[in-house]
Amino acid sequence: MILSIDLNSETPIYSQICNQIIKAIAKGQLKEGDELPSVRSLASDVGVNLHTVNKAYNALKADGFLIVNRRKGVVVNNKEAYQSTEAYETALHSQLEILVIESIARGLESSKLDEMITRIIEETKGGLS
Amino acid sequence: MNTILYMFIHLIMLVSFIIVPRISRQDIEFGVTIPSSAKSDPAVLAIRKRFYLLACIVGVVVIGFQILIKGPETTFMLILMTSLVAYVLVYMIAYNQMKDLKKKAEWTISDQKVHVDMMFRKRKLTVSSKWYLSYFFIVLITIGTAVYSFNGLPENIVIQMNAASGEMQLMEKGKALVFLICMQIFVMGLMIFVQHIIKQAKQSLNAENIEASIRSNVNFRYITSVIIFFLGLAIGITMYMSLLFSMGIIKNVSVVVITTFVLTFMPTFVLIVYSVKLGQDGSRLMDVKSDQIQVDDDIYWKFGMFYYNSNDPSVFVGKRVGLGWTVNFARWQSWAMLGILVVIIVATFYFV
Repeated sequence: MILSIDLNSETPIYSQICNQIIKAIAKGQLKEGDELPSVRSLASDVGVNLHTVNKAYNALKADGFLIVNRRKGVVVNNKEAYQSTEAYETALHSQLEILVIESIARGLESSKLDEMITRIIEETKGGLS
Repeated sequence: MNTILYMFIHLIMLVSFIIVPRISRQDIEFGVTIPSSAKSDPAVLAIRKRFYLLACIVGVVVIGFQILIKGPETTFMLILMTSLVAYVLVYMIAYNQMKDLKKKAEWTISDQKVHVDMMFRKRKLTVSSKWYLSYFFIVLITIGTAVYSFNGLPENIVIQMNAASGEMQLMEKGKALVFLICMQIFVMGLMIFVQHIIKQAKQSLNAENIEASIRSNVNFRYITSVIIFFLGLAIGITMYMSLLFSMGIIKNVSVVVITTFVLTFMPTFVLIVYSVKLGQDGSRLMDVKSDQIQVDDDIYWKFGMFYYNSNDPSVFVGKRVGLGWTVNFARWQSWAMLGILVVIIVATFYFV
C-alpha cells in the first residue's frame, strides 16, 4: 500500500496514518500477518518525528488492528481482534449522530445521505475484487 | 609515468564533475527543486551550458598547469586541491543562478504530499546477507595463510608500494600482518555498512508516477548494492594478494599492481556507467513531465548540497547533487560517523 501524507493538512499526521492503514485493511490491501515498517523506518520515510508514528501505531494497537509480533515486528492482527462490538457500535452511533444531525440542520435530504454512505461502502469493498 | 597517472586523476575529476547535471534527479537542477518539465527550459539549459563551459576551462587550465609544472607528488596534490576549490566555485555559480531563476520563474508547487511505499524495505533492495559469507571466507583464508607461513617470512615485509616509482615501505612482520588483516576486516565491514545504508536510506518517491518511481528506486538500489558487494570482494582479494606478494609467492610486482587496478577500478567503472544510465535514484528510468514542483524542501538543503532538517529523523537521504546518499546533519549520528572517519584517518597515518 502507498501512504500519502499531506504535511500541511489540518488533519493531524498521526490520524492520517491511522485512517489510511484502516482503509487499507478495509480494502483488503493489508491482510492478517502483513508486516508494517518499523516506527523508525516509517518516520524516516515520511520525514516526521518518531512520536507521531508511535502515536498512530499505538492507537491502532489499542483498537486491535495491529499487534506486535516478537519476530516480525508490527503486523496486521487477525480479524476477530478488531471485529465490531457493542461498545464500538455505541461509539460509532454517537459519532454518526453528530454528523447526521448537522446535515439535518443544514437541510440535506436523507436520500443524499444514504447515497453517500452507499458510495463509500461500494468504493471500499470494490477494492476487494 | 607519474605525469600520466596525475593526468588520469585530473581527467576523472573533470568527468565526474561534468556528469553532475546529467545524473541528477528529474526535478532537481544544481541542488534546486524545479518542475520536471523545466529541465528543458531554455533558461535552465543556458545555466547548464555555462556550467559545462566553466568546468571545461577549469579542467584545461588544471591539466595544462600539471604539464607545465611537472612537480613532485606534493605539487600534484596542491593542484588537485586547488582544482577542487575551483570546481566547487563553478558549481556555486550555477546553484546561485538556478536560485535566482527559481525566484523569477513563479513555478507553482503541487499539493506537497509525501508518498511512502509501506512495503518498500520488504522489496529486493540489497544483495542477500548470505553473500557476505564470501567476505568471511576471504578473511579466514588471509588469517590462515598468515598464521601458516609466519615463521618462514622475512623479519620485515612490504606493506605499501608506490605503483609509479616502485618504492616500497617495510614494516616488522607481526605488526604488518595484524595491520593488513585489520584493514581487510575494516574495508569489508565498511562495505556491509554501506549495504545497510542502501537499504535504510529514506525513500523519496516521485508523486507524478509512484509505481514507476518505486520500480526505478528499487532497481537503482539493487544494482548499486551488487556493485558495492563486488567492490568489497575485489578489495579483499587485492589485500590477500598483497600478502602473497609479501610472502614471496607472487614475485612479480606488476601482477599485483595490475590486478589491484583492474579489480578495484572495474566495479567503480561499472558503477559510474550505470549511474549515468540510471541517474540518481534511478530517476532516468522514469518519464515524468510535470509543470509543478512536487515537494519544495530547498530550505533544508544548504547550498543545495548539505541536508539539515531537525524535523526529519532520517540519517541517510538521497543526494541532490551527485550520486548515492548523504547524511542529515541535524542528527547526532551523522557527526558521530564523521568523527569516527577522522579518527580512523588520523590513526592510519599515525600507525603506518
